[in-house]
Amino acid sequence: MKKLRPLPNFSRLADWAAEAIITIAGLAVILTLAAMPALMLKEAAPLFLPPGLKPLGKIESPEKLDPGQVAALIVSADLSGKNRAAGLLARDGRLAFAVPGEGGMAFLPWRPLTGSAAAIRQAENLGGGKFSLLREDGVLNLAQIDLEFASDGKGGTVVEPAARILLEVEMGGETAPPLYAMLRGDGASHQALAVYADGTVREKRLAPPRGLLRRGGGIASEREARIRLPASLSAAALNRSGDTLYLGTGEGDLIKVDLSGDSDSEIAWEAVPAFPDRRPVTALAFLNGDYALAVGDGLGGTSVWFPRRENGEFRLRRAVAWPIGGGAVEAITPSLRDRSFLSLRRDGSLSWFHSTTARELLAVPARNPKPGLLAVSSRGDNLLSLGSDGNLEFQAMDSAYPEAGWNGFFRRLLYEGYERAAFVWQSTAPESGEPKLSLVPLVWGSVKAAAFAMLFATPLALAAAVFLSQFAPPAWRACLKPVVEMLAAVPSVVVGFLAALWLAPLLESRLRFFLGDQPYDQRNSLVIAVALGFAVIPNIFSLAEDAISAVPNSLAAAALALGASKWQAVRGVVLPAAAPGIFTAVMFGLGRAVGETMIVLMAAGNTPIISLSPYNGMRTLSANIAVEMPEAPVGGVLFRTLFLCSLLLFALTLGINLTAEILGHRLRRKYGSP
Amino acid sequence: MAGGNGGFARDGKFWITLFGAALAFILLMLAVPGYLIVKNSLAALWPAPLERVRLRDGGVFLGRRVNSDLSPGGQVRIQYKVGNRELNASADFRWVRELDIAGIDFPEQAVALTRSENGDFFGFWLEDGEAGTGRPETLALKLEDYRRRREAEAEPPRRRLIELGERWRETNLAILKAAYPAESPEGRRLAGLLADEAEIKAESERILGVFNGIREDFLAERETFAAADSTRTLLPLDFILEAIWPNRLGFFGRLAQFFRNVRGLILDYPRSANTEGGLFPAIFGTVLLVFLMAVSAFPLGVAAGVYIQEYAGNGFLSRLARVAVNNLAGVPSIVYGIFGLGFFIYGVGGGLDSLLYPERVAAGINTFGGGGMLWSSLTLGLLTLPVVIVATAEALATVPSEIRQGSLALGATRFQTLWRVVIPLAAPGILTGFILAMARAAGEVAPLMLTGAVKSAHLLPLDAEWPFLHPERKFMHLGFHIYDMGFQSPNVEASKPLVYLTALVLLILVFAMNLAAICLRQRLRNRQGMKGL
Amino acid sequence: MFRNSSRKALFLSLVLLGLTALPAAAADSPPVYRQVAGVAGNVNSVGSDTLNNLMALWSEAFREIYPNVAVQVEGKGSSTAPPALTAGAAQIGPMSRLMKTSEIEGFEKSRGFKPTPVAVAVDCLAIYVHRDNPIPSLSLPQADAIFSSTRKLNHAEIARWGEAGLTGDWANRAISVYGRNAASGTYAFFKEIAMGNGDYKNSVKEQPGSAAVVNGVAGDLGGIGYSGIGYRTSEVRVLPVADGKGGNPVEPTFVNALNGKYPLARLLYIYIPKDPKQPLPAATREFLRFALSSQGQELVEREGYGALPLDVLAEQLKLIE
Repeated sequence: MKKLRPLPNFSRLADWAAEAIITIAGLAVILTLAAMPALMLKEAAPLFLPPGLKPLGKIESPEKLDPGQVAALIVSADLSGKNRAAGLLARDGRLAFAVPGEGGMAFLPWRPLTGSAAAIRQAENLGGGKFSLLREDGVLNLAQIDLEFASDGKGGTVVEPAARILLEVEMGGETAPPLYAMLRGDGASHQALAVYADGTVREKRLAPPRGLLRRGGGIASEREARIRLPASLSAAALNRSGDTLYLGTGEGDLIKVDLSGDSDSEIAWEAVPAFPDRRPVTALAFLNGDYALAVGDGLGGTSVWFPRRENGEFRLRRAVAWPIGGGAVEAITPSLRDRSFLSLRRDGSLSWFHSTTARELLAVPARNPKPGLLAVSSRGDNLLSLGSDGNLEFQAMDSAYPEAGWNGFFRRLLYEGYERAAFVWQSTAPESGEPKLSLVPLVWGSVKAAAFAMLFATPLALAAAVFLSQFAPPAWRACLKPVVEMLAAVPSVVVGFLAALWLAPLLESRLRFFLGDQPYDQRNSLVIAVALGFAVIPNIFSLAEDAISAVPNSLAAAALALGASKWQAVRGVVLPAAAPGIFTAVMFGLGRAVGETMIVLMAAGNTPIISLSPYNGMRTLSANIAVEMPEAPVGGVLFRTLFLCSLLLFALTLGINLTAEILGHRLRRKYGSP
Repeated sequence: MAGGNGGFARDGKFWITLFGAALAFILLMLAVPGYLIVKNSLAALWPAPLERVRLRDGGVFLGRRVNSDLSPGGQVRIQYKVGNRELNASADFRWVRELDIAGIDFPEQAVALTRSENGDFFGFWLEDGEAGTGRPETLALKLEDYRRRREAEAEPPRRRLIELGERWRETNLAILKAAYPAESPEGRRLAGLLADEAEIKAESERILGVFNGIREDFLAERETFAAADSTRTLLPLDFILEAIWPNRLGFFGRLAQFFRNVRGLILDYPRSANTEGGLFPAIFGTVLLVFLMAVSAFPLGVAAGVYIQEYAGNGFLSRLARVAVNNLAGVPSIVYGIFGLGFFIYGVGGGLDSLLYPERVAAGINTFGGGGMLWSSLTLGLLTLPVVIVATAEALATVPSEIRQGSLALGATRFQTLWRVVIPLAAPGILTGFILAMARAAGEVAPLMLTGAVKSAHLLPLDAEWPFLHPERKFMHLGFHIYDMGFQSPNVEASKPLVYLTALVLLILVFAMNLAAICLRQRLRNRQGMKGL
Repeated sequence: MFRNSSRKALFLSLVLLGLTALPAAAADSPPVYRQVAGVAGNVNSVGSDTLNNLMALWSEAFREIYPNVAVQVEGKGSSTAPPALTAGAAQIGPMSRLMKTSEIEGFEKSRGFKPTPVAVAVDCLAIYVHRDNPIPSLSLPQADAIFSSTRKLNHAEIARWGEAGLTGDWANRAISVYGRNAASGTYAFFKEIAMGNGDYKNSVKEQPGSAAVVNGVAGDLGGIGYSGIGYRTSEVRVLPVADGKGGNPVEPTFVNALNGKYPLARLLYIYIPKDPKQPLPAATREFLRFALSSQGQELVEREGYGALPLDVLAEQLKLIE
């Protein structure tokens, strides 16, 4: 040390300046680092926000139509979601539109919808502005009713409603018009389906139309089946692709009619008694995705059913049910964006349910005037209702990530088509698919990978550190410590690459002999233990070795002087003195093991399974983020879920480090230098 | 020495041996990947002979032996690289059973061409299209002459075009600036710039036309080659980067070629979507990245570590800060990448862009608001900060308080104690942290994917053009290169040797940097005297 | 002009059939690209990693013709294309799938018109097995049973190679399944076509790149995986696939892709922000024209993808005018 001179003012100033700079730098760094969990929280928090229905305002309609006189409501909004338009299709075939204009919404005069003169018995919204209309005389119409927003050339938007009939098909029966009839199809070919009160189901397939309007002709094929009805029909629903029809009876039966197959095949059907207390089925609707069926019954209860595999066969089974109450379910309106739907009851109360996570998103109690008819916009952001007072009301719908939430992330859920409830991570689905966002397999994977890695790495690293620090000739230390630290220099990409393509096959060929036919996956926990251990060992080793070497010679010398052997001195004196540092080293390694991304990404198989076996792989939270983030749409549910994953990782390591800090502090007080 | 219990247990020899074995095992763990990488890399660089394999069914091909294994039936199979992608339906590797081989010879006239398109070619040069094969020296001379002429005639207009392209882009950015805001553009300046742009365009047109003509002429110079099965093909000389006759090389010839290959690896640019070529921009990018990262992370990390350990006291806040920092060491690297993207690129970068280049933002052009060298190095710096901070704090903690108190007792200020006494004593430990940090950062790929590393970048972040350092440019990186080649490569068999080579270069780079730091640490340690028994 | 010998054979056979069979006005090959005037500037590409290599090759070749144009290629995934195109950070967005409704809406909201997809290549999705795996072919329902947990194509569960029809040593060997990472266009495509929109088994090992799947299968005797046909190597076998409705197993060639026999074929796209009121910037337009030219389509074939059939190519060219 240099000889210190008496303290000039300058030194005091320098001291103060240094303290200021270091404090600022230190705080800045820590704050920036703290910004990270803040960012994660900011992105993940919206996942847990509750969904909302916000009233946007009523539209007084000049002619107050009772909901019973209205066949269908049409609602549309522009891309910004701020401008809305509404349409009313009355049963007598008249159309009214409410469009945004100067000073609010304006009602355009009524106009007729052409086609058959008979009143409209049923109307079904097929999406894309198409409606399937069944008239009282048994004629099925395909109508195009457009409420599209277009740019008005001055930076604003304007709506030009348009309506016309595209197709007409005769579906009248011998004795009576059909109870239910629907049209399906794209621009080229169509399918018309009719269900009669006596249980006849008639399907007509139409050849592609050659003109805009085709009257009753062009039938390419026809099929029919006679269903033995256990009771009278009370509800019907046909899916988008037109291959599955469900019928409900007044005594609680559900009948599945299979319309898949070509025009020569038989129509198969199957009846399932849905309610043991034989309450009537009052509403049926297919949920988005064309697979699950929402059922409303006469006591106000709602349930979701779908085919599940039992003993190799698909059987219609109930997946989730919500409590009864509020009078019979009058209508079920599914969302066109996700697996949620609205259930409207006779008393006017409304429930917004989500089928996958089996919860009620929102309950709207009954009020006056009662909503009688509902319509949801195609982007799922607007709800239009026609009240019992004849007025229209808009509400903004925000389903706010229904697949997420506590249920979605941490509970065992029964997903569409699965045999039993499970923890599944399969985040991406096609546009009408069902995302599965369970975090349980991922957390398990992180824990398992870290555990295996630490089991492999810790004994090795600590043993080597003790040896090199205390028992090896000093010359070795100068030479070998850097060499071990070189292990840290091998990039994780390379380690992962070698582990996946060299170590994994090698291990399999060696172990196959012992394991025989036991289930063994090439990318498994043993490979991870070695590969991840490889990355973690130098961290633990370096810090532990530093800690052990930093124990003052005096302590060990004292032990030796008292007669201990080298080994006893190390074991009894040096190691306990170094304990806090060793502990920190191990915890550091653990933190690294939990957070390592590339190695696990390449060598673990990324299989989201929950298993204790060392012979299969795992999917960790970190590898999950790496593998999914590049393609997750910004701001979407997957994007935010991945931030939640990183928050979880953060919480996991926080737990580890808090423990380490507390215990380390205690150890330091007990064994550290005075 | 007083006696104790049984000698063996007392001496703990069992444990000592076991611990020594642990160290040996760890060293072995290092040796294995090292051996694999070195072996595969050297095999890729060493010019192997070309075998002409005649099969029993009459087929014949030229190839380099790459691998061999046993088929399920116990027969030996050999894998050959046969090249000639355009003649082999894009399959430039094949397996043959040893049984099916009728004979192998090593024709001296067999030539291996490294091409800029379609990969390698193995075959024979037919001078003037004649059946007899030409002399290697003649082809070599032809190639040299061709290159010289191309350099003299085609390169100048091409370089001029590249220059013009750069100037066009700069002028365009200046035009954007002069025309912004739209309500009050800088009229005169704008007019001048537009005139410039028109001029550049006109000259580009002119030269482009000339260049195209020259290029077509050069491309028309072809030579006839034949594959081993006598299929003929005309190859433009322009595509031939290198022609060697491996079967004619003696040991020293091979050695010379080996060194030429090494040189190419380090100095050439990559080709063919990164499946071939050299690593120069990736090496450059990696070194610069680590340097910038070290410069940004190390001082801040040490400062923060000093703050936590020395200035923040032992209160709750200090412990909280310590826990927070420890915690961040466990955050996966990809999360740092996302944070870098959100905070540095969109946040700070976007802000800088709005401040300095609002006209570019309006046109959708990102300067600092997109990925680049600067943000990548800061993100990596963040990644390694926790390590540096923790190591610093730990190292400072091991300095006995007597020394601190002694210094203070002698009248030094806190800072003087720190600067002259404590930190020098803790320096080896601090350097340990730095070493670990650098090593980890040099190999991390995940954060770079999001913050600025790209598959291919033509411009370097540091070049002779003012202001010399271009931190907003995207760059190439060795680790990212490995990831890209190993996972995304369209021809993963052909690029596997390059993956090993890149890994080797990366390892050498990192080891070199580490070695420097380690030597420094050792010298510091030596000055403090030896610890341990 | 034709370097690939199988294309040569096809062309020759067409000639032999007699050119009288072809309509006189139709072109018989993609147009040869010739340099044009007025091209300058930047072309930034952000999008699919499947198309990354092709984009890199195209940009290298494009730079040869126009050294004054800088082409920058970034390929982090198809989902990165829509936001980049919307913000204006990229002029072209390669995607291995069509844009989702929400992505189109996001673009339209910001720019006022819909983005235009231009098909540039044909891709076959191949099912790979280890080169020593003797299985002759697979049907789609079998593939569904191997990869899927929901098995919507109604085949019994297949977990061991014996259940897929192999005998002897292979009968009891477990099937080791490799797939692409979720959210990749390839993953979604396989889910839709081969699994009827069902779910993957949770034992499918997700690999972060197309080449990684092939690498995995190459080192795993019981392995099976799906990836683009362009990624095949000599260490794996490609399986012919039958559609499961009675057809024969079909090889994954581009001829079979185009005539519809091979069930797992798809188009690869480049999205451009084509404003209906304005022409495309010259550099972007020329880049696409190059991609759709004979030189560009040759590069497509060299990469292992299929060139577009001429009528489709002609349609795409109209899109960029």
